[in-house]
Parts: sequence; C-alpha cells; structure tokens
Amino acid sequence: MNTARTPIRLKGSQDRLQKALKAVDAMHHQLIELNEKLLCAEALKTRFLALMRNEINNPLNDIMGLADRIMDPLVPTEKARHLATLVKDEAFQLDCQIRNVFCAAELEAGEAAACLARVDVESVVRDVMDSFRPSAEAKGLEVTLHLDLGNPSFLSDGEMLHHILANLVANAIQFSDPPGTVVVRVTGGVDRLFLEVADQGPGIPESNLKEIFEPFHPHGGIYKVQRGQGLGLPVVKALVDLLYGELKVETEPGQGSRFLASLPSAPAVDEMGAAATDDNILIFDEPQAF
Amino acid sequence: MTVRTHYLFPCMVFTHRQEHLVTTVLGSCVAVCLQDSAMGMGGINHYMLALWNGDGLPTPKYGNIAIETLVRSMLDQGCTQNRMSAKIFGGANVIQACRGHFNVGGRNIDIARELLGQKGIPITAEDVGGDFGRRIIYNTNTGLVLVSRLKPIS
Repeated sequence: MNTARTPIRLKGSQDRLQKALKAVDAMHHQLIELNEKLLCAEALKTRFLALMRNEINNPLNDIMGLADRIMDPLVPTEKARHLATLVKDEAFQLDCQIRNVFCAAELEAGEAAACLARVDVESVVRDVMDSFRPSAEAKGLEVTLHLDLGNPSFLSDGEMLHHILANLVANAIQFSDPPGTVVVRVTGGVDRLFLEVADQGPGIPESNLKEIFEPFHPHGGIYKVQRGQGLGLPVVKALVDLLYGELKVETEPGQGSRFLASLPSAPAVDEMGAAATDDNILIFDEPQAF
Repeated sequence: MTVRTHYLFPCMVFTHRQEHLVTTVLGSCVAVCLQDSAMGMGGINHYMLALWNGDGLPTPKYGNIAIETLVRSMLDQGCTQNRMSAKIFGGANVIQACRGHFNVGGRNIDIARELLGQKGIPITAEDVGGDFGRRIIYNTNTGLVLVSRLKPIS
C-alpha cells in the first residue's frame, strides 16, 4: 500500500517544490528590482545633498559674510549700500531655489493644482523682468523684452506662468557670459501663449539634452555642480505639462540656447482633456453609474 | 449639507477625508478611483502616460507614479491597503491611427491593472477603452462613479 502511494506523494512534493522555486524566483526578481530602486534613490539623495550644499548653504554663507561686513561701523555708507544690494541678490537666488524645491514637492505629490483665472500677462512678465534685471546687469548682461500680445489677459494660472518664465530667465542669465544678451519674447495670448527665452551662452551638447530635464543633473556630472543646475528645468517642464503646454529647446554648442514654452488657454485645456480634436462643443450622453 | 466639489486636472491626485464630488474629463488618460469602504473615504488620480522613464520630475503624469502616490496618500490618511478596492476609467484610443505600441490609452489601462494586481487591490468596476472621451463624477465617500461618454458633434 505504501509503495503504491509513494509516486503520488513524490509527484505532489515535486509540484510543491516547483511552485516554491517559482515563488523564490519571483521574489529574487523583486529583490533585484527593489535593489535597483534603492540605488536610484541613493544616487538621487546624493545629488540632492550636493545641490542643497551648493544652492542653499553657499548663498546663506555669502549672506552672513556680507551682513558681517555691513555691520562693521568703519564701512562707508556707499559701500554698505552696495553690499546690501549683494545681500538682496543672494537672498533672491536663495528664494528662487527654495520655491523650486517646494514646487517640485507639490508637483510630485500631485497637489500643484492650477488656479485658473484671467491673467494680466504683461504684468506677470514685467514683474519677472524687474526681479532679474539687477542680477543680469550686475553680471554685465543685457536683458531685452519683446512683448506682442493679441489679448491683454489670458486664461491660465498666473503663478505658474510666473514660475515658468522666472526659471527660464534665471537659467539664461546663469549660463550667459558678459557681454551677452538675454532675449525674452512673449507673444500670442489669444488661443496660445508663447514664452521664449534665448541666451548667448555655451549652449547644450546634444548628448545632454535629455539630462537637463532630470532633477539635480548638472551638465558636467554631479561633481561639477554649478548654481542653477538643480530643479529649474524639471519644474518648468512639469508645470508646462500641467498646463497642457509644450516645451521646446533649440541649442547648439557655442551658439546659445532658446527655450520656448507654448501654452494653450484654459478652456482649450478641458477640450484637449476630452480629446476633442475637431469639435469645439462637447456633448456628453446620459451618465451611467459604476 | 452641500457636498463639496473638486475639478481634477491631469497629473493630479486627490484624496480627502470629507465627502467630495470630483469631476474629471478623460481621453486617453486614465483615472483610478480608490476606495476604503470601511473608512468611508476615497481618492482619485488622473494620469496621462503609463510609465515614468526618468525624464523630468516623477510626477503623477505617469501611471506608475500616480498609482503609487494615490495609494500612499490613502495610507497616510489611515486607510488600509487590504480593504481598498479600485475602479478604473478612461484609456480611450482617441487617435485612430495610434494602435499597438502607440496606443497610449491601452498602455494606461494595462499599467493600472498590473500595478493594482501587484498590490492585491481588486478592480470592482471599469469603463475603459473605446474611441470616445469620458467625463466622470466620483463621490469620494460612497465610491459611486457617474460616467458620461463624449458625443462629438459636427
């Protein structure tokens, strides 16, 4: 009786063993996958810390050093005023970086909701230009604005427009050497708004074009972190995505770069969400419950 | 008491302890509505593409990020994963020429099924695919979803 049952029992054990082996194999693959994710997370953390040191710590040290000099009673008023301008400039850069960190966190959490309203585009653009002009001039750069709007107001998120343009202008100034010109061109304003920022900087090699939109990926590798090479472009790209727009970059090494954000007005955003490619009016049938 | 309303834009995730009627409009995008019936609360995402490929920020524009973010957000608010159930909507093939690998809607549906399956979250209802857009209104408290299909007129 026992000998008759043995093959069945063995077969059962073999099946169980095969199942267990398959489970081990699947777990092994999951572990490999998890390990890869951990390595990526570790690399991201390292890059984040390098960026924090560069973007947050260094300006803070500068601000503290400059403040010490201003506090010196022997420093003449005129000199103190100049130092105060430098403090403001450093604080402004710091503010931009911190805003990018918070904005990236909101975007990654899916919480960066667009607040749609009629936006006075000219006022947004001029505000950005006024904020960056002092640092551009201090660097010996010229910033020119070409504004040609078909409509004074545009249905979009004003704060996001401001953030997109501010990051593009900040990058253009960052990567330009004197005596260069940064050209900001804002056109459209009826169905679409076009924000264009061109610089005469070193340009971006084709091999690095994808990297520039990755968080904390400086062009020359993580050991050559420079200011402004952190979250700016990834944030711009995500904001443009959120507004259903497109971001293009044209660049050639030695010839500068040109970034163009093309954004639809908000009603068109809804239509595109519904994929109404040729119809302007959307009609929905009777709702069904699920 | 009037139920609060919320319009969900693409690339966004919404979870709330209080009852909300969340509206979103889907073409090839997919929305996953996640419910913890014991908690009486739910959440929803709206993603455009299936997988984040490392390009740009890992935002809920991508299905793998959007589903992970939604589940984590629900867990953060006290929900339990093994009590969760899902409903999926959208994933239309809105551009007729885009079939096979270029079928964005199909890939969006596949990633929802795959990731929810991996997490052991059952899909209790779905209205996916086709070649028409959808508007959905999701009640975060009851989990009820009203789906209207888009009828383009010339």
